[in-house]
Amino acid sequence: MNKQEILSILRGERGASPNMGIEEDDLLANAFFDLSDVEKEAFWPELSDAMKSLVADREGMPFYLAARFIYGMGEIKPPRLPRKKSLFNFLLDAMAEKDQPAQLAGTLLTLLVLKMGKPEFWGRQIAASLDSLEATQDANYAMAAVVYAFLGYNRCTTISATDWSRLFSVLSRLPSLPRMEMLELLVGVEKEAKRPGELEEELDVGLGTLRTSIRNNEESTRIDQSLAPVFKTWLEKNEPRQAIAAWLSKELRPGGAERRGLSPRRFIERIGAERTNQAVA
Amino acid sequence: MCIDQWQGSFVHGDLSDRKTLRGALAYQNYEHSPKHIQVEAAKVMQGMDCEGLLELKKSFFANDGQCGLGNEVPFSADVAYFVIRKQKLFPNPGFSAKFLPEDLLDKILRLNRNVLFISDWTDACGSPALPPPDQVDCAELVQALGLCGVMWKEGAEITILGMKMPQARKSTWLDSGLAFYWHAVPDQPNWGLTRSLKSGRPALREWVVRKQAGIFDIEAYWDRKFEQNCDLRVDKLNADYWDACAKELRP
Repeated sequence: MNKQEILSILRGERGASPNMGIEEDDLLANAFFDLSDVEKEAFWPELSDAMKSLVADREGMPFYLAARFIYGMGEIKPPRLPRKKSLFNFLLDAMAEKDQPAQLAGTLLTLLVLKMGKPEFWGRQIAASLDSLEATQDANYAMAAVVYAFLGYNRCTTISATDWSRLFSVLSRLPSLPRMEMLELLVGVEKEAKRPGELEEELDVGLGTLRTSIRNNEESTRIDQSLAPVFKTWLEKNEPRQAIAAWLSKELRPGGAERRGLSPRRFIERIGAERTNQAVA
Repeated sequence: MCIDQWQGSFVHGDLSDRKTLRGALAYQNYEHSPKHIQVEAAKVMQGMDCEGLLELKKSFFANDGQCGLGNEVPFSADVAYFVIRKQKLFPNPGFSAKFLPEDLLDKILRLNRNVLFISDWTDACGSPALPPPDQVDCAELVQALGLCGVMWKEGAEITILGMKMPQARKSTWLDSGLAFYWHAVPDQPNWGLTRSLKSGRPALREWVVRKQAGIFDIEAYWDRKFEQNCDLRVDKLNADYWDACAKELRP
């Protein structure tokens, strides 16, 4: 199966029927399953080339569907993923622009599935994906990219309070909070966090910093109100580990965000933020 | 024109030839559709690749104005089920979160489709035809729902949504994308019937709802996994399916 055939499928030229649940990645999977083992090995370089073409031509949706196909191949038993991950090294260099959320989401999903990318790369993706979400307000692909960026970085190291703060800040300006994606992000990060205590600290400082920086009570209340149902579902349905569960319980207590004690680090950062606000005023 | 070709298959085609049989099934769907659906379908099929359509190599994606044109009926069943491949909701190669059902609504409204095919999983007599969502075998389910054209591998995940709505619409051939495997039920104004991809016979009551806010509520969901492969691609459907279809057309 060659690059042109793959592109033809991904571009919707071959019988997708979305109302009946058949999309382009399903058709690509159908075709892939018919290949012999030798042909399957030869398929991956062709898919890589096809994805390079889609990047060059800024065809975000077909690119995203290619990524979703790869994800699907990772989920079946046994998984059928490319042996040569280097075929997808180009994704580590292909930076999607802010107005290309589908391409960014597809890139990060692929790299997450293939377990590629160093900490510095994933750190840059947190910033890039939040920029994209802020620019496009796209709760679909841009938010997906944010989730993948956080999950990818979380595999390498603890997500910082600064990144959490920025995330909550950007989310607070969306027309509505994408709850499903937000839960996937929080639950996924918590389950794979190597040090839940550190995660709790960074979340707390991040959210606290955001609240401190907001002078408008109405806006602060709105943020808390939109996060509360997400936190509640996280706590009650997803069994977070003790440190996070304790933090969520405090967050969800009426007035909990104000009443809770501060660690030395949080105290210093809060004082610093308050002094900055006073200087600006 | 497709319809003329398919009419030929229907009237005097050799139904032991599966390509001819598919054309005949498509023509039956046309014949058994209400007039306004026939008119719209005929317009759509001008210049279409008839063979490609029958082999699911070409498609017709009904736009918003072409969908949901069937009879609007009160939906009186306790629950309507909608089944979707989980990766279409949110592909996540990690831990999957548990949500409240209403958390899924926004995601459903952003799907790339104009209508949702739903079923109450009862048969033509209104009797339950499948076990409940937490017990149903995924392969049995997708065959009964008539979800043709997909290869389901062991480990593939689906999400079953339990929904409530005051009204629904009888599905039409246009909603299905002019699929040969869709099943018109001309004598029944209030619901359609899927055609089982295993037996070829009518299986489950079905309707469509528009994919719009305010039309339905999501009250429950179940994540399920395929425990075996299930190949529902056109050229892999079994002989029983084709035999039953042929007998229906020429008793």
